[in-house]
Amino acid sequence: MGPEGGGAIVVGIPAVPGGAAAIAEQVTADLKRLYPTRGATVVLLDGERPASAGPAAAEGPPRSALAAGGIAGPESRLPDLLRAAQRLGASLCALVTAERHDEGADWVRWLVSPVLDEGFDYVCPSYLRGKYDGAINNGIVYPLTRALFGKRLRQPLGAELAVSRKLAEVLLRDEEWKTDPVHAGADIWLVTKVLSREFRICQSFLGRLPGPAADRPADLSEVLSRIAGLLFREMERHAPLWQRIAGSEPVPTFGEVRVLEDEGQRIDVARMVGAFELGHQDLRDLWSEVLPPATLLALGHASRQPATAFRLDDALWARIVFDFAVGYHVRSMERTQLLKSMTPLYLGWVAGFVNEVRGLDGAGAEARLDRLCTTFEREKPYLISRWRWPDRFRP
Amino acid sequence: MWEQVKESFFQSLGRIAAAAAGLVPGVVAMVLVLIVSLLLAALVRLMTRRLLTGIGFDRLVHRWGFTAADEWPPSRTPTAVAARLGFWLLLLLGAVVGLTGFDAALARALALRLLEFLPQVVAAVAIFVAGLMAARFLERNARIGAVNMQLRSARALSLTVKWLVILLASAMALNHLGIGGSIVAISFGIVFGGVVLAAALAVGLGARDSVARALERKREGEGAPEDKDEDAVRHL
Repeated sequence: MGPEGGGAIVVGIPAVPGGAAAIAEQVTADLKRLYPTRGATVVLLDGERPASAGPAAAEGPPRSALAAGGIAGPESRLPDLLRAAQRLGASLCALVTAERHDEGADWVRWLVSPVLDEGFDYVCPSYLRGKYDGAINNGIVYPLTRALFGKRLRQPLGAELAVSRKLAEVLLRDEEWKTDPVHAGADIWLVTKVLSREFRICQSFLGRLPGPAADRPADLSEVLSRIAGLLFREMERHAPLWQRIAGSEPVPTFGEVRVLEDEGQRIDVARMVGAFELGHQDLRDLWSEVLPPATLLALGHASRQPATAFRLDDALWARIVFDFAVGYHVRSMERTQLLKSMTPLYLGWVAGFVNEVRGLDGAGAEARLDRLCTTFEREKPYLISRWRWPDRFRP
Repeated sequence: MWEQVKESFFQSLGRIAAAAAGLVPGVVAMVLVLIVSLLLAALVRLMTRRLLTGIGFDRLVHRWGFTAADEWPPSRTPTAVAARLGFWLLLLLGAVVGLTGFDAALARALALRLLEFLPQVVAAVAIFVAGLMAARFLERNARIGAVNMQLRSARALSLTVKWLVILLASAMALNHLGIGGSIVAISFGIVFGGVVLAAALAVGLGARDSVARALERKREGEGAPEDKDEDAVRHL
């Protein structure tokens, strides 16, 4: 820790037994190399939460957002970091995970320099990933946030970040730390908070995903419902804003941008298609409370496709996501049940996406994803109509 | 002798007439009470229907997890049922109040007994309705969970859960009303235990190999998640 009040850069690292020291040393050395004249302070965040910020932190080391499916409020170390930065008078504060980072990516530079050198307020991290990685982000989070807020933030679910002093002060003053401590500090909360205000935002590619490859979730439906729930919740919060936004624009991007080429993985989508068919067979009546008849009909046609040729049309998928968001908003059914019932549909989309990008290289897969996002943007009027008049489309 | 018979006859006729005359005010009062309660019941039915239609009661009930609104015939929508229930309850109350007009001890006792029993009926109905709601919720939970675990028998499993909860709620409601005594509890125990035993036998005998394979897959999955083809897709 640096001297009190002396740091122009504050970097917070969640204190993980045996893991934080190495990364703290690397960050300190990199900052000294990059900004020798600026004082840098590395803060080990032990997870102690002040009483005003919500319930006590969960026991054990903090989980990576990408592994756990979004940082929920109590697990977030963000308020601790912001307070430390304020106390130390920092012009920038950054949060990095205690995992081993990509050595060759110069990731510390790409995380802090956009704020210090370019005057951005928020740096959203992105990582080099394969075309089959981050399917929830690719299929739901990225297209939806892009269509809603009009900014092409490639990986909004980041466990790391860098914020300017101005943004840190605004965030610290936010009432939601007190009024909604469970959700305040979650990654999607932060990103939508920034996107909904006049802050300068950018994204930086920080190399490969820190630490070991993201764990396979023990319960996919749990993770999906948690991420989609957070996202839909933020949609409710910012509804007046996103209804006025059309189209999208790229955000300034730093670091090396590319998609990792796959190493010849052989993916059999039969099980995912089977899950979709089973869902269509057994959950169709529940879906009918959220989805209009035309969508159900299209899903019926889709369920009759062979696994190898399985596809879900982009417009159909976009409308499904929008319909579930509206269903969440109007509480068509119990929210957790609603979100979990989406899992077979999501697996169907993943199977279709895998079938489509199987023969493509990284750039081709990225272009395919861009087409999906464009469709989400094109279908946005449908979302707005349903949001404003949910009963008009009611089956 | 003829005079005595004649006297007895007229005396008994007089007593009957006096008794009948004594009943007339009670009957008139009861008819009046019934007419008033009929009018009130009709008014309550009308108001209930309008109020519930206004707040979208059918849709609310649908959201609480009961059968889809379009599956109800027009005469059996939740709004219609609630309005009809209000109508008959008020009419029943009117009849009970009317009975007390006779000033007969038996009628009064009956009326009091019915009035005392009413809170228990209301509580039993509440228990049953809560049970139905819980059954619907748990049925959906079980179905969604089973589908997400890719179990082929998701619907059968969820229906089992639903009917077990309804059975439990019915037994509790009947027990609360004091109907059936220990027979209800014993019957419930036998049926519930039978279902669980049947399920255990079905899994133990019929699906032993499937369970063994599932456990084997789970153990292998924990050891080496990369072995499965679909794991090449990382959801996070």
